[in-house]
Amino acid sequence: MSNTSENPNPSSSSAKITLKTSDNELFEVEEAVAMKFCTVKQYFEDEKDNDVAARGSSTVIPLPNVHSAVLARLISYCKKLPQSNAVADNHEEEETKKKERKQYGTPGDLVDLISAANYLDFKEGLEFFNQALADHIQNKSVEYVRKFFGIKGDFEPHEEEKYREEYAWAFEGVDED
Amino acid sequence: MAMSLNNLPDFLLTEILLRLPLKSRVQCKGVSKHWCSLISTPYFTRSVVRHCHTNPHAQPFIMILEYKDKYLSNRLLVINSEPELKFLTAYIYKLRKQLWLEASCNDLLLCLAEHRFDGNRCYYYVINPITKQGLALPPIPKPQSFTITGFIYNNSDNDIVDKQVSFSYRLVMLKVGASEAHIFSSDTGKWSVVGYSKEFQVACFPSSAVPYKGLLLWCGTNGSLLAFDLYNSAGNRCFEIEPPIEWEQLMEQPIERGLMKFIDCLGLGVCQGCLKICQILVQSHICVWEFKDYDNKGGGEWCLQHKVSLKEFVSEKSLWLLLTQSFFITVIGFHPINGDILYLGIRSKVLICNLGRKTLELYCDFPEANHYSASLLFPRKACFFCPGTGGRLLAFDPYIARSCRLIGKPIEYESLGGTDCVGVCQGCLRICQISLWFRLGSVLRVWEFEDYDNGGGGQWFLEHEVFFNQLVSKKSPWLTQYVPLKFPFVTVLAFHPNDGDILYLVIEMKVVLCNLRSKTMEVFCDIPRL
Repeated sequence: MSNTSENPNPSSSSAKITLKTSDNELFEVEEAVAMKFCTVKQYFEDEKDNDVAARGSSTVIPLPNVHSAVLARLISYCKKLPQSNAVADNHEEEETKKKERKQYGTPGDLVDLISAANYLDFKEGLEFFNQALADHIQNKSVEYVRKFFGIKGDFEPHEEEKYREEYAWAFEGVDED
Repeated sequence: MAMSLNNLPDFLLTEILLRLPLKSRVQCKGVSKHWCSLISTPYFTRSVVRHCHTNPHAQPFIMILEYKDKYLSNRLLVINSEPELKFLTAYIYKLRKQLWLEASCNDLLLCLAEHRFDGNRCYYYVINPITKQGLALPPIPKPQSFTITGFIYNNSDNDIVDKQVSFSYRLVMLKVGASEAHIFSSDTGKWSVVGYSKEFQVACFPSSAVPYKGLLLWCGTNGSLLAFDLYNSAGNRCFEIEPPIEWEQLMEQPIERGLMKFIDCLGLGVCQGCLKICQILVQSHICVWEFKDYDNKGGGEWCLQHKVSLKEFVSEKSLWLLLTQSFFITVIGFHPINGDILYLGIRSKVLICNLGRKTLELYCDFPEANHYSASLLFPRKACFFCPGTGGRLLAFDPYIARSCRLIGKPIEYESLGGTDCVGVCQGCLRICQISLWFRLGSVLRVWEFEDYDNGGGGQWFLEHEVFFNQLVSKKSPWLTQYVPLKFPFVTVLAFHPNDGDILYLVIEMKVVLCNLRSKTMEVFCDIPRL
């Protein structure tokens, strides 16, 4: 995904902010979108305090921890944010939200998105991607979760058996992997 | 950027795991030791609670209703808000076969058992349906008059932080005729009596007590509340909370107009941690108030939140509802999360009333309901069970409530049997076996249990292994003769409470002291023959 496709309509009158990613790509985004990222907002406000003249698109904000592909996805998520972030209040809405989350990519992609959203302090995005990852392991067996996260179980067999006996109710009715 | 699934920082992992449903969360504790400790921290529990308060789907609930069916027997209707709670619904139905459900507080239920052989006393149990465990309360004399029971346990944020905090609960039995409340405290283990104003009349429905911020509340027929302050260091206190200013007197008798009957009703409940009260004036409107308290001790005022005329309600899916809406209505309860939703009972149906959208929809039916007498259908009790609330799953530890636990036998224990004995010596659990292995000679073995967690987990260690033909007896040399020959008469009586080498045996109607270290046997005393 290249940054040009993310460039907003040039005729738009709103102020633009330029973001520079770890692979030195430049993104010009609308101020309203960029302000969703609290890290950017903080940086931007500090800049403004320091130098009143240096305002607008002339400032380039470096984001050394974010790759361009990830940032592009975050920006596109940002743009369709208003309708997708409303709290669902019935089952059908919740189901459609679930489907939407599922389409958001592989677990690997999600981890990139989560770490970027965390770095940018982008709360709505973090919430959404965390939930999307949680959906992947919901109602799955312990073995599945271990494989999914690449974790080796370090419980002794008798400890594990004891635990399963203790919380037998939690191990009933697990989804197929 | 080199972050992958297996090296997510803990705080991000926490954010992901707290979004899982309860069952998955518990399962994930079994993934690894690191995950287990992460999920067991108070920080995690607090984060879950915070998350639940902002997301209605993260806090599923169960609605438990008791009503009279057409055979006039009490029947239970259990409704789960999310399919994942199905297993709990099934368990509650099963529970109901043995016990009466009396009250609920967050994720615990209070049940009553009427013992078949002891008609004068009643037995209360606090049950955690998730872990399927229960605590039995000391039995109390069966009250002679009509009583209503309420139940509350400590569930403030501070308690969740420290999972070691002891589980402390209060049970209040309201004797309606005598205007007095009998209060049981788990801290003192005693009952005490507090009187309340004779003018206060408990509303017959909802008669369930509502736990709210350490207070247990009952709603009166005039909209005032009877509050019991049960976690007050100065002692139990009882006071009244005034009804909202806009409160209108309810009609006590049904109004008849043609074939239709009208009766007003009220309801009390908690939604998102806020106390709410509502009244339905069947001729005009529904009002809902929220209690804004300023001192957490019952001081505060009611603020009107909704006032909706009944004529404004629409019903898309079940149009017939509008025709019957001015019948007998009861307020079953408030949605625990969504402040716009009220559950109502009309005839034999449970309805969802959305005050924001002004809609009325069918939710479910009361099975085998009594269609003829609407007043009988009024559910006797309604309680909400919210398994997501609080850190009870952690704090209400299985070890605390577990009454019976199987400890496996020692490895060397001979399955062929023999005579054995269990006892305690110097605070250690011991087991002793005399094997029936005739050909190789009888063996006496003693094991000691080394537990590593004080909760029943541990291992047996062989302390002594002595062949009977090794034993000598200086003072009474004839004694050793008995052992191999008349074996069945050798039984282990007890362990010495302090000396780990000494066992008491019974041989030929004599108590024999057996020292396993010096391998000696002496007669201790005779057992008198009757």
